[in-house]
Amino acid sequence: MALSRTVDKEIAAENTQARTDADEDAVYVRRVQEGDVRAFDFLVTKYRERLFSIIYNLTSNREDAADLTQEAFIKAFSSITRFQGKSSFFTWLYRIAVNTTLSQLKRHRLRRFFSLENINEEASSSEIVEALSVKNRTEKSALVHELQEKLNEALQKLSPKHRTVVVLFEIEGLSHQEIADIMGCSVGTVRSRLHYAKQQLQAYLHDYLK
Amino acid sequence: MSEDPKPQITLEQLLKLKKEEQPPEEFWEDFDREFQRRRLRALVERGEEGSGPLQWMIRFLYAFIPVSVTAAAAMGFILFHGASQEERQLSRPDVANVSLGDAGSSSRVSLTENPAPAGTAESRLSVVSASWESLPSDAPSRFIMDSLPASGSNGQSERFRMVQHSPLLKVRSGGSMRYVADPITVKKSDAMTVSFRPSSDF
Repeated sequence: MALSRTVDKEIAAENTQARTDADEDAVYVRRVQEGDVRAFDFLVTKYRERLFSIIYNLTSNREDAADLTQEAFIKAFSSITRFQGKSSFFTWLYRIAVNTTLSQLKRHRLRRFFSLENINEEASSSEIVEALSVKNRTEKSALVHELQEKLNEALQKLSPKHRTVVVLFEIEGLSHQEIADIMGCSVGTVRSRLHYAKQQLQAYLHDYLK
Repeated sequence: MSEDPKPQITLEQLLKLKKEEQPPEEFWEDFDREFQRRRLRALVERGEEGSGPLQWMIRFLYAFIPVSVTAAAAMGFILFHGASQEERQLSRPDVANVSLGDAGSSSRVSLTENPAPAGTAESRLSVVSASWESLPSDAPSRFIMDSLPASGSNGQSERFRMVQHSPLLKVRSGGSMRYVADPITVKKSDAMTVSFRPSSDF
């Protein structure tokens, strides 16, 4: 009983936070719609890293990701007067970012140049890095780098839509419903794509995973 | 890799590790700069079609750019053209009245028909007088004369090349480029009096 109360409290706190975030976004969106161009800067600063992360994980290329992130923000800025608040701002923004990226991926299907960002190993989840059973730090860094490369290759073998659900769910931590809203499909479709994508990734990375 | 034990990591853990891949701080500084630039362009494009509260801001931003560019260009012009009086004196060419008709009908020049490059004319001219004079107000264009040594039937003679002179350019003697020829259109006439300013640098 005490545990469920704690869990309820956490969920309630998260919901409160979510409502606060959404309310905060709504305030800034309204200001932009009224002509305060600078208010959009706040939204860019708030979401740029998340947007970049999604797009980077979809494209595996930093330059492309930077360019597409810019493009997504500009599209959002240009069409913000048409945003009616039926969904949350971040869902709307993510939808623009994902659609922009998927269009780009369709146009440049054969792009194979990957770039890797450095992993902030100190900030990263220590249990994950520690799970790499390698003795010294140098070898661990090399192994992490190798795993990054292999994962990028495996992700690129997925179709863009399957890759998107994996990125949004496993990397960005969005819910099935949120992903469905962003991708304009049902929750069931999200689940089945996710299941299939993970099966594929397991097969590709068999030698590297437990 | 195959000889070593497999890393004890799951797919989910590996995917979560990707979340830690982040560009350095400098990346975001460049990102912000680029975003400002793109947004300004989007504002300008939107300003051409839209209306509303942003309109005045767009016009202000749009007007600010050409003003600053014009100011920069004007400053550059002033710096370039702001030669001292003495420098102007040196680069100021002499003026002489030349009558093309005096040199005979063969020297009748029609610049539009001359096979020389547009804006230039090659003709043997006799100098009537040379003096410092201001250009007549009805002169179609300003010319300078460059004398080029040429061999004629009478031995050494001079050929004169008439080209447009721009006061903004300093002409150095001894240099390979002594003048700038600009395309000009001059009406054909039997006798044309042209005031010219041969540069004292020649």
